[in-house]
Amino acid sequence: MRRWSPVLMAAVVLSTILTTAGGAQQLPHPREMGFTPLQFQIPDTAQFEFRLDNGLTGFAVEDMRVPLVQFSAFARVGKGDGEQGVAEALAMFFHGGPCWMGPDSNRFQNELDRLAGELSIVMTANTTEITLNVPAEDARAALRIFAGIVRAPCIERSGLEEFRRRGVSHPTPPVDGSVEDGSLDLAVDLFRRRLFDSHEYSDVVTAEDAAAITLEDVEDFHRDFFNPANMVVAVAGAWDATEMLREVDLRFADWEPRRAPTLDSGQDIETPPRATYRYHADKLQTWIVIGHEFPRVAPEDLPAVEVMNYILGGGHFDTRLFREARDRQGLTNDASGFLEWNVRGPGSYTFRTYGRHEVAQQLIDITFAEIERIRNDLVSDEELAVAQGALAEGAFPMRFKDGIALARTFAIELVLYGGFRHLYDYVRRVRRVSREDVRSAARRYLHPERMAVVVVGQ
Amino acid sequence: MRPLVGFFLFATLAGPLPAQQGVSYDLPIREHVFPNGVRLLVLERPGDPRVAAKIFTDMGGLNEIPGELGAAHFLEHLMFKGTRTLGTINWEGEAPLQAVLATTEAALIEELNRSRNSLQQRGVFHDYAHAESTPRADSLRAELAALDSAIAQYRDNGAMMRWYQAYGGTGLTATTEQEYMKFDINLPVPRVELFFRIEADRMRNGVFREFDEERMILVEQRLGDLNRPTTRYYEQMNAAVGMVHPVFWPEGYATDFAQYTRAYERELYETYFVPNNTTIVLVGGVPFDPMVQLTRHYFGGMARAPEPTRVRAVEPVPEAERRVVFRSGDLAPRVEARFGIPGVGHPDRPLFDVLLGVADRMLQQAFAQSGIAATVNANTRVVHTTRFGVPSSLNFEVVLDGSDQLAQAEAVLLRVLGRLGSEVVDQELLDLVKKHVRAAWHRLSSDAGRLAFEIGHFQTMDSWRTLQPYLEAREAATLQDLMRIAGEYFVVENRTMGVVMPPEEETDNTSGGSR
Repeated sequence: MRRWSPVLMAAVVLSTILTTAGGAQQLPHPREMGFTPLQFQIPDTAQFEFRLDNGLTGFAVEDMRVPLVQFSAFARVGKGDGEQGVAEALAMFFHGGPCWMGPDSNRFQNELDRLAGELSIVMTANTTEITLNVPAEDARAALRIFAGIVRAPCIERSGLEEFRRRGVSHPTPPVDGSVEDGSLDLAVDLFRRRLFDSHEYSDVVTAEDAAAITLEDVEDFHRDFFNPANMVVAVAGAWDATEMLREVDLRFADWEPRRAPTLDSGQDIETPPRATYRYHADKLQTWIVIGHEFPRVAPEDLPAVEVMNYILGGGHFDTRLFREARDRQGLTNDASGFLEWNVRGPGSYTFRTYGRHEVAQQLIDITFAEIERIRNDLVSDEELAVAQGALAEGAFPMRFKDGIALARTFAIELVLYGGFRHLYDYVRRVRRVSREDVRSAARRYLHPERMAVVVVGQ
Repeated sequence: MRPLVGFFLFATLAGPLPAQQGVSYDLPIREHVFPNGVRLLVLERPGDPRVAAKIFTDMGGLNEIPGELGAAHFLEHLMFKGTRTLGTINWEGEAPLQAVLATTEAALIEELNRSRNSLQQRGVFHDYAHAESTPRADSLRAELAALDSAIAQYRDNGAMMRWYQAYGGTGLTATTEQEYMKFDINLPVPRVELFFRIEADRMRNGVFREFDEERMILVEQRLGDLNRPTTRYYEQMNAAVGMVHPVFWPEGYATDFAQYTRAYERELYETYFVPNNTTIVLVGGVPFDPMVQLTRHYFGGMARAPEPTRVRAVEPVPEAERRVVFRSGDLAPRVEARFGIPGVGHPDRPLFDVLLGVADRMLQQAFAQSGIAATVNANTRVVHTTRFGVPSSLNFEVVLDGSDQLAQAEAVLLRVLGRLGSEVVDQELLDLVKKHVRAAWHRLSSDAGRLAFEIGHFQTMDSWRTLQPYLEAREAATLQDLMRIAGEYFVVENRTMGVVMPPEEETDNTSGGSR
């Protein structure tokens, strides 16, 4: 049966315009097109949630539109947990496939190739996501492999030796020294190294770190944190829902339950007074990263920060930074703000831009000027309304755009917050943000006096 | 477990495909062509709360002239600068200044044309000319700058994007490649009218503000490209593969950027952004009939224009192997073979997608067995695009750790490609490649925006009606098909070889050569 309810809404709008616009030559201003806030309805999680007897929770969503199936497993643990490098080593073992396929990862790679599957492992400081996407025709076989990767990756000696060869970070170059290759990614990496230099969330795995890791460390880390009590599974795609659940039960029900582990919170970071760190690169542009730590924020406080960041530099074409640095002055192809937060410890808040060498200082000045402006002055009503609409009607609903996205969103929410209250309340909280809230968020979370300025270039 | 009631159960477009037999690519696209030539293509996804909306114009880098390369891309940037209704706080105040700006620029163009013999390039290694400018040209440029500053008081930056964002638009972007320019947005279904309103305005009422500032953005993008050491090499290769067709031309040099004028950009805009050169593509939860009404309302009143001039270039039949030797200390040594291939619309073109995958795997295996440490990269890219409605190239690039095995690598590369034209490959390998090709398509089509792009892209390359047969032809490819096209196209006179090696060591500092 076709459901056309959203379409009927469009038809109502259409009929209004057709009767009032009065001809193709007259274009109404968008704000006068009669759009009222949309009431986006999040589907009920109970429709999709399952819980196995061993405590493993998950979401199964049947979506027949495209013949693909995706399996994801989210763990409440990441690179910031355990001894330095252990999580990264485990990630490498996940890439090697399930242990029942043997220690030779070529067999797994060949099987993955035969399935036309795509495997990805994404680790943040606090979370891990393992995802396998395959054609629906191989869903059953792929789920068996996926369960094997999650439950029993092949943690063995030659793999650990490989990690010691390949998983070690490059040494951090000295300030004012030269770097071999310049890029924005490198500038971000150098910024993160400065910020998390001696913190447990450091991404840097030294040769000494790698050498100190034992197989037992990796096995313990996997056993302690990758178990039913600490994970959420998402299964979605073109697979009959009943069969999907039956197969999930078959592959995960006998997974030994364990007590939910206690996870430490990351230490707070207090950054030093503002300073500039320069790295020379023989390239045609200079890359700039400006920022500091972003503290743990209660989820109910996040919307105000997100609205503030959206107005200031939120990674799209109509931010204050973008308009000033790119549109008005033609200095850069991009100037954006990046909020990277963690639930159990600090993250970072950075502003990233780049341009020809001679405009680098202007870009830095513009960034600080706009930071000061949003701290000192109230944003306009229109800026606020645009940001609220963009978040409430754009970015947020896209998290539910299809079955795979829906299952993933629910699973992530459960992993991060243990429930869905914040998810269901998000749009209302975004709509309630005031101009004063935006300024307050800027004053609370933007501290130009102690921002690090990392410059890679000339 | 709780019973599961699928939220997306009702949203079935195409059921799961059982194994390989009976694979079909059901693309229920509906078309409406208006009397003025605007083409509307809709793929309904009932129940989808959002819609991917794109507007394609049949123009791009192919329509540029030497000296103005990249002008189409620049036009795309300018078309974000607003219209008479968006991007200005007072069009009545701004309009007279814009008129003066146009006449001043016309005077500058006249002055530069008059000074041709003083200003034209005469050097080879740099752009030596008798003079860098003329006093009158400098004076006119100063006037233009002053006018731009005066106009700035009226600007409302970001307006073309702002209202999309305010009403839930995501994925707002635009792209210009050789054969098309497109603007994209993804909107909540009840907001789809905004797409028609903004895009009709953009097509009809564009005002090219902040011209010189935006020119510098192209410089920034070019610098970004040049930071990658492969860029210069690939440009040399493209130039060697194609003799006359502009599909092989780059996206503009810094010297081109300096030449752009508002007048030329306006000419491109008025010539190509006409209803009979426009395709609108919608994929999502919108029904067809109301979209026809919306298109008629916003675009139906535009008059059909003279058909834009089409590219007449015909790439000559290749008659000799070409070879590029590129010396670089920044780029890893490599050897590359490029072969001319037909464009979409030619019956052989879909087969090359399959042949690409087969050849890639055979090369990976051959190099693994050869003892040569190499990375194989097989693709159909020219500049940024991988599929064209005109002849382009199939590229096999082998990147090495060092330059001492370049000759051996070239031998392995050509031996494997030669075998493809004389031996039937393994059926199992063919089936596996097809499976990957199919999975890649399904991953692409799971995203409404990417699917809408393919529909519009095929329309600009050939016809949207070609898309489904194209996919089906890949599925139907046989071992004999692959052997036939490999034998036909992987021939020496259709081949351009590229070799990247370190710079020659300087042996005599007094004999020149250093610039």
